[in-house]
Amino acid sequence: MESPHEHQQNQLLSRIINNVEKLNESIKVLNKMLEETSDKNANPDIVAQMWKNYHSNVQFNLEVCRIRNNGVRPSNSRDQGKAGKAGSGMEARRT
Amino acid sequence: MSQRPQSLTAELERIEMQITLAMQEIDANFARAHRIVTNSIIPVVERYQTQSDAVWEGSKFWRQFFEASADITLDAYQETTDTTIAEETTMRADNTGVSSPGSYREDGDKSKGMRMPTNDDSELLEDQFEDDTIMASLQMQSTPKPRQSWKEEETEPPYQMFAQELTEKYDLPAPDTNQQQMLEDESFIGVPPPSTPRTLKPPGYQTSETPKSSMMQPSTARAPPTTTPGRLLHQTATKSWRIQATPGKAPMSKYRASAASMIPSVTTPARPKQPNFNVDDSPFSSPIQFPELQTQVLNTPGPAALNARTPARLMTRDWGFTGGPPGTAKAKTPAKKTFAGYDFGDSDDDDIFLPPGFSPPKTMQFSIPASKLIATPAREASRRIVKDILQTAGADDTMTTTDVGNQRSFVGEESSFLEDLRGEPKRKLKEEDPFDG
Repeated sequence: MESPHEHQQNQLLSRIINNVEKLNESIKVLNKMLEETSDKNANPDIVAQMWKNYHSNVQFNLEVCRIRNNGVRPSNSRDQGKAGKAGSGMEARRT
Repeated sequence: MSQRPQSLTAELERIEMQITLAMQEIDANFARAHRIVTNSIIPVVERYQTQSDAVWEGSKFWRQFFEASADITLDAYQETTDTTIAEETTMRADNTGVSSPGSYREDGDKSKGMRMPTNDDSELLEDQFEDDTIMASLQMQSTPKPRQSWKEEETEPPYQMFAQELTEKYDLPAPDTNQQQMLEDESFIGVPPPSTPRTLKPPGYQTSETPKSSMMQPSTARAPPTTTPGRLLHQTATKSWRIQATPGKAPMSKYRASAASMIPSVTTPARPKQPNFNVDDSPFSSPIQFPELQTQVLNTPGPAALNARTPARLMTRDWGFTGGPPGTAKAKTPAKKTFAGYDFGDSDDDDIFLPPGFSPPKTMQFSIPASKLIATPAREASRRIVKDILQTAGADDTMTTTDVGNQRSFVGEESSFLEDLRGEPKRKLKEEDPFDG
């Protein structure tokens, strides 16, 4: 004689299995979408990295220009010449 | 006695009901989770994806802009996670600088070469030699000695290190010489900087540092020992993407390289050879030029028929750039002067990287001597102008065309016309016109 609880529990188990399968499918879809989104976000990530580096470079060059405009002379004359040429090249490139 | 089995049956019934209720609750929770994922999360993620597309559309221009300005092409390619574990570890340590100054412990799998920092110093003493050898084999530049300086780097902002470098360079009063020495030691050892790699450049970096070349700086200047320079890492949950910066096409570099040599060639077109010319002195010189690739493009055996049409000096200069095979076209011009492998023999250096089939550009001569100008149709033009003037004054039509003597008397008109061509006011012509009433 089958227990009524056992029958009900079997039905509940099959229902749970069905729900888990559906949930698993949904999670798979969600994972795929997130992966695609993350792959697409790689490009803005690169652009952001480029801007960050550009910002760092501009900060550095502005710092150098500021120091140079304050009248501080470099210790080595050769270094000064090279720095000036590099700075002029940078300014030309900015323009 | 009869109460006890009854109570057991009731207890069993109660337990069964509790199990059923628990299973119902589990079922309801799974159904709710599925509903939430389907109805709430997935639409939000879809919207996020749409917005991400919009963001990428907005930033696409800037990526192309930076790629064009740095003359590189960014390619993303996937790598398996196993091979990049060590690299990612080093790169993360490079990026964040959070590696603690403890020792390194073995991760259990020496083949992967992944070591995690711990604080056990005794293990460090035991395995230091082994660690060094394994590190050397893995080309990882992290040795236990500079870890103290890593800590300094950690606590110090990069711009303070900047300022220290600048103060050292420009003879400003240095805040702390020990720290400066420490930074120099770091740069000598090769420990990568935490966030801005330019801080640990050698003192003479300004000769080669340009914003264009350092556009991809964290990838190039960080210089992870096991990876190719010029790579960025984008890691997802299951796979890791690497971004490789490859140099752009040859014509882009050609124009930039030609722009460097265009300035002296345009300002002084007939300038003789300059044996003391320094490549680094050019303001456009940047370390991102890739002459080898350009010469490879030019020296491919494919366009041999086109190369046959190019001037011989072009080919010799290309071979001279990379120190090409002797006995080829370079042997035909052995008298060319070279400077560090680069040929500066000709004054018109702007056609160094001309693609095969292109002829070198010619400089136009705008100043034409007067003798040449007289030989031009100006004589006929002046005759027509004089004829028009005479017709306006009421003269006969056949007067100027038939009379040779009159034509000879128009030399003065001709000279005034030449002056007019050179920018003289036109009424001067009218003043000198003998036929003007």
